[in-house]
Amino acid sequence: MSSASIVLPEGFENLSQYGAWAISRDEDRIAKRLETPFEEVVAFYDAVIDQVYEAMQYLSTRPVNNPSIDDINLVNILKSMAEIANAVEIYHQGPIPDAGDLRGYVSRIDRDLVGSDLNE
Amino acid sequence: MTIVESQRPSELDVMKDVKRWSRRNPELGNGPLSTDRFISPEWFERERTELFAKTWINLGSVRDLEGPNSFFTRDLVVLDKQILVTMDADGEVRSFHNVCSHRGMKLMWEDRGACPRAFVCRFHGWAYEKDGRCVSVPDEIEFHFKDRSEIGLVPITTAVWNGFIFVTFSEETPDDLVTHLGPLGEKFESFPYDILELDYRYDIAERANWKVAIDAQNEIYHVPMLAPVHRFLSQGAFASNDDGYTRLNDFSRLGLHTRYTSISESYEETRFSNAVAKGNPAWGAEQLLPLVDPFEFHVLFPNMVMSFFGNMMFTYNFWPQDESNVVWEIRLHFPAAKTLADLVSREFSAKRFRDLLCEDKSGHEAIQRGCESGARPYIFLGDQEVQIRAFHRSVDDYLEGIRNV
Ligand code: FES
Ligand SMILES: [Fe+2]
Repeated sequence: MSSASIVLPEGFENLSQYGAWAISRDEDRIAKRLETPFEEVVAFYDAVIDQVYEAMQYLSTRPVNNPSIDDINLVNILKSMAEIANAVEIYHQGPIPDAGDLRGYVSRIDRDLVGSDLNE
Repeated sequence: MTIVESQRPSELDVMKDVKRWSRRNPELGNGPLSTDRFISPEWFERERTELFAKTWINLGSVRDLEGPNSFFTRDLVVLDKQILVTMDADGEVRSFHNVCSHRGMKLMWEDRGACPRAFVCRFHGWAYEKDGRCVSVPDEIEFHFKDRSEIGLVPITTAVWNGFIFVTFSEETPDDLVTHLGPLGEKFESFPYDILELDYRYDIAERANWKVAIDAQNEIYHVPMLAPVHRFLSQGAFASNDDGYTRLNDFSRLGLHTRYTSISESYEETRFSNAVAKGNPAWGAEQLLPLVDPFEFHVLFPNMVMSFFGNMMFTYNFWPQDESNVVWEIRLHFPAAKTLADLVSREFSAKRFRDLLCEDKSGHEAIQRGCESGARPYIFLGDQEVQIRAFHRSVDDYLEGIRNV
């Protein structure tokens, strides 16, 4: 996980300051959701949400095999959005109220884009 | 029997067409259900010896294997069994007790992996092939067995249906798997499971009886009430009546198994969800929808669930640990992603669903505590929970030795 600025595909360079959210592993995305102050989570959401539609259109032209590093970064930013979307849009807080601990919900199958990886 | 005091349907019920499923399935009764079944150690012991020891048990599917020449292991606590499942070079799946023939050491300690050249016991090095044959015994000349055919791994009766791996420990001649699956197996006989990948798996330990967890999943009555993502989805992910209460569109008993459906209506999705869906329309529910109803939920007796939600298939395996503990194994399957956008769409479906199930966990545990408190010896089931009643009837019948409902 990098906190520095990252390379992104053309048209999405304005998100390059969100390197800290270009996270490849499920476990780390969950930790980021829970450990980031919620105002910062919302700020990240607000910065990205208007470009999700264009980003999805762009990514739907990119096959899954051999992605470039800038495409991988964009996918990982959107995966972080998928992680926090319910938090921002439905819960209005990071953790799920009155529920199990999300840290127990790390997928045992976690294929990141640079290689297949099993959490076992 | 634990089902007591069924009420006769009133003329008003018939006129208003309510309590429909109970009227269609009068054999299920409609009385309350005793709570012993969730809390009593004696009841659990009967389930071990009369149910789990006799029925077919799903261990997952070929998707849990890495392909030919791979294996996985399982610790089946409910029967005190350790299992080694192997797939050979030809794709043949077998299972064995994961127990070394020499002195009883656990043979493979890893959860899964590619088959090593041989399965070698870490205690003294006895080695076995994927078909269970013992192929090497260090210092063999000092042993007294006649030949190696006596010391192979002990096989477990195994059958594969559409890629799903089942075992049985029954000492009587068990029904074959096709008979066990009955009408449910027929219904999905030609379902194209091979278009689905296993993409997510969660193993959730809960302090709840395994049937408390199944029951709480096996209904949608709670969806408008329980928790935020549940309430959000109750806006239309399931059918509901004018009062906002969820409705089953169909319910049927399929032999020992049950099925219900609830058809989604359109509703206002969130901004993120809309942007993801509209930006990647190719990842649509229609990939599976022509094949099954949009929300279709099956309890595959006794402890498995197979369900379809949008273009996801999810399966659950509820592993009883004792009368008040369960491990809830959750697997999410999707059609193969073709584009990078598909990976994001899939991820969001999985995360939305995971949050939903995370909301459920504390409920399962709270129900268990409530039953254990002894406050009431019975619980009540409404008509929209008829599938829970049918599941318990299958369990009760099985414990009584009644087969092929
Ligand atoms: S117990 Fe396995 S080799 Fe001795
Ligand atoms: Fe639920």
